[in-house]
Amino acid sequence: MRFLTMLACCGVLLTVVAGCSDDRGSRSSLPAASPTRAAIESIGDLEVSDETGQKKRIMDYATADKLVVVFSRGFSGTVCPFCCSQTQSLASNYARIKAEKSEVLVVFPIQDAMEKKHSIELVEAARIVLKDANAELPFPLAYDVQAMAVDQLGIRAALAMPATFILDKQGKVRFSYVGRDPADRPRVEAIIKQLKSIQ
Amino acid sequence: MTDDSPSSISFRQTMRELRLLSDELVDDVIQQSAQTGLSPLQILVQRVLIAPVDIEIVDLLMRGDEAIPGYELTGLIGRGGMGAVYRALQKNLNRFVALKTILARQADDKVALARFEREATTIAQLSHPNIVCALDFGRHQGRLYLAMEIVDGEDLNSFVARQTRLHESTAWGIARQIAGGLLHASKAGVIHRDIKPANILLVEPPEGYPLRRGLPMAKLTDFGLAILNSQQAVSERLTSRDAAIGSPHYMAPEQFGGEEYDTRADIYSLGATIYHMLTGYPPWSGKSLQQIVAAKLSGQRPSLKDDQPEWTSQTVNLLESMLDPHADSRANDYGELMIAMDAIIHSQAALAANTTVIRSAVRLGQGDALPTLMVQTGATSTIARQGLSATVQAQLDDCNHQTHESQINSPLQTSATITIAAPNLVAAGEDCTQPKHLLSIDRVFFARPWSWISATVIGLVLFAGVYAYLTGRFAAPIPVEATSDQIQLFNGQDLLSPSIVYQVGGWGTHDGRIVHEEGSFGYLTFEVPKWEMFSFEVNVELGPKNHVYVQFAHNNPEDLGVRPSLRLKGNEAELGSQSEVRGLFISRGSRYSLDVDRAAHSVRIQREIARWVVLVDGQAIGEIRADTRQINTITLVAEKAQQSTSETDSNSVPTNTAFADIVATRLAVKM
Repeated sequence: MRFLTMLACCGVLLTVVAGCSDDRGSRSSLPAASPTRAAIESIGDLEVSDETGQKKRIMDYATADKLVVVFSRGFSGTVCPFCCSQTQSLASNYARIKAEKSEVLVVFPIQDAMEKKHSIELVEAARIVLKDANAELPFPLAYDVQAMAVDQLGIRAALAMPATFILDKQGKVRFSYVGRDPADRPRVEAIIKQLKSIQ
Repeated sequence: MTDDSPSSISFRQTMRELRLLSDELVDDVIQQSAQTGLSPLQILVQRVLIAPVDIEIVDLLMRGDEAIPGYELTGLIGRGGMGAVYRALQKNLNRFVALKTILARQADDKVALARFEREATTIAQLSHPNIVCALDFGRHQGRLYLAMEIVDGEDLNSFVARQTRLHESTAWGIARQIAGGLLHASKAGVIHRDIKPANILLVEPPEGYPLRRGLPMAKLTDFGLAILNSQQAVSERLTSRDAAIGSPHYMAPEQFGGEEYDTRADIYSLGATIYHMLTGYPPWSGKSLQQIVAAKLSGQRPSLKDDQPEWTSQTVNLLESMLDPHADSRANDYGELMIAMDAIIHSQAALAANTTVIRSAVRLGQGDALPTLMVQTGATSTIARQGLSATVQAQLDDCNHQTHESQINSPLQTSATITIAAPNLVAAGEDCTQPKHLLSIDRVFFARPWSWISATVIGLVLFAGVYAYLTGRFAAPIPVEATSDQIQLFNGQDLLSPSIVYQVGGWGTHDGRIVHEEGSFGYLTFEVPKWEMFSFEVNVELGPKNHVYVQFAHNNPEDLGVRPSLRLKGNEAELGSQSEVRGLFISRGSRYSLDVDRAAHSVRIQREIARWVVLVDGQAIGEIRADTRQINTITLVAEKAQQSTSETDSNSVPTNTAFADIVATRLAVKM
């Protein structure tokens, strides 16, 4: 009787030991999660809307050799202070970016048209550093309606993840920065360094 | 904003309550805000005066009345890595609650969102006086919130720090209550996974509550890491990215390895918490994280007998059992554990009252010389030393006075029955039938023949399974060779390459390479075509202060659980595993010394029929058995240990970690 008891216990024990071997991480039975980024040919072909609601390709904003595309996080009861700060930083360093034969495009994701008005917070933030209460952003601001571009780029979270891309003349992404949290963004100095390195 | 504007006053008041900055600095921020027109929060961001998460908390508190509908945030109770807990007024019921919200940085993380929702739904299933209860749950503007019973007390961590250390009777009295809560949770299929003093709140017991005088009421909180122990949830548990999470000092060894684990992991953590209560510091205090992990994985446990001679042998024995590195050697469930705890509490009470037994009856009778399942505990060993075989009937007053029996070893083959009144009562609702498994194996087997027949069949089936597993596992690898199917996963120019399916952090392209640019952490996930067998090759230029991980046998880096990982660090390549994309690296012991004079190291991850093979600079450094799923993604992770000096020079070409020549090749069986 005791032998049988031992037999059963040993069986369980061996199974446990076997289960603790080196493949422990790969025994998942869940279906594989699909990658988040949609297959897109070019970020430059993604569509956004301008102030009037007219649809444009991102590459349509490439009026210089290089285009810095900055996706802000959109609106969540407030426009996040890091987006405001980043916009201020881009506005106050815009001349340096232009000197690198580059243009800036800030994209504001919105779920519906009602959210569009909140982008004024970015403009107001820039006005402060530009020291002009009536100033507009020195660079274009576009809207990503229903965050479709955000989804195609795979940077959707509760809002968009803060992301910065630098496109060259051919529309190729030469620099990419997707933040892991709202504060995780490239500094303007890093962007300028990248612009300098792209021929 | 003027110095006496409402927003200035609100800002000053919030900052004062949070004690994040000195009053002088707060005034300075307000003054700068008035001069520049920037909001105080903008000033905080620009001057990097406080951490981003604190900015979010300040922002929410300043918008206290509108941040969450129906609630008014009135103060901060605390914050952790995942969320912040506010004291809030629930307006419609005019009562204060503890309102937990997820941090904005976590609100962009679907795994964190899932954890938060899991906590809410888990607590909602539980109703026990020793578990903080949930009141409301919702989402507003993308932000999840959970309203919970507010507990006006202090956490056990602070309590112990204030007391230096606790008396045995108090420590076991608190632990017994938490065990009761955990018993209730386990009956709902919940494993807490993060039992530690900081997650135990102490309050004055309500009027008439049956706790001995002076013993605080303990409530378990923070079920953010809890999982269901049901069969249905096994797959979720195995693949959730938090497979090795918790607090390292208190975590059970099996939680580090990505193995399956059950309520006994919580029993281990409760043991570590008791250790903390009794000593004033957690087990392995002063050790580094790596040392703790290594000690636990190598089967060590904190020294008890030598370092703590003043503890009673009962306490030492039960703690040794709870802190046993092998889960199978711990108590099987809370019923068994609570009986042992009650025995200690009773002994302590008896000692204090200078009596031998408060309410007991010893019944001597015929022993039956039978082995038992019960682990050595303080109660059992004490009785055994008296030379008696005994059956302990622990009578839990709140369990309808049912009686539990358990056999224990006896060198003299006699038996005794001791009835012990639990001096430290817990709430109603605990299952008094739990300890029935303590009946001796032989009694059950002889009384129920089907039991041993079933056990025999199960044993044989298990042996057959193990044999099949082992023979499959050690089957000789099938020789493979490269085919002409080869694909470049990065074209040297465009980071929007279709093969790069997921990326986080800063990445630039230079000279046909992908360079990790800015920030301390980033990853790129590459998708290989759906080939049954393939090799993934990459040349890694390892930055001098960088770590690189090549994670494989895994899909979406953000979602999944433990995955094999190759780490390149300094002059060493090492094979191990990580529980998430940025998880702790657990070494498997397969190491290879890198030639530091090489400009780049070639890494090849080879997926074959039954295994993954890892080669660095042409040398095979390890292999891992493959499962049957087709997993064709490889994630390259770069982590910067320190800021590179090259970053300060805006004109220099980056010299950080870079990846080049990233190709995938289809493999075929060698004919």
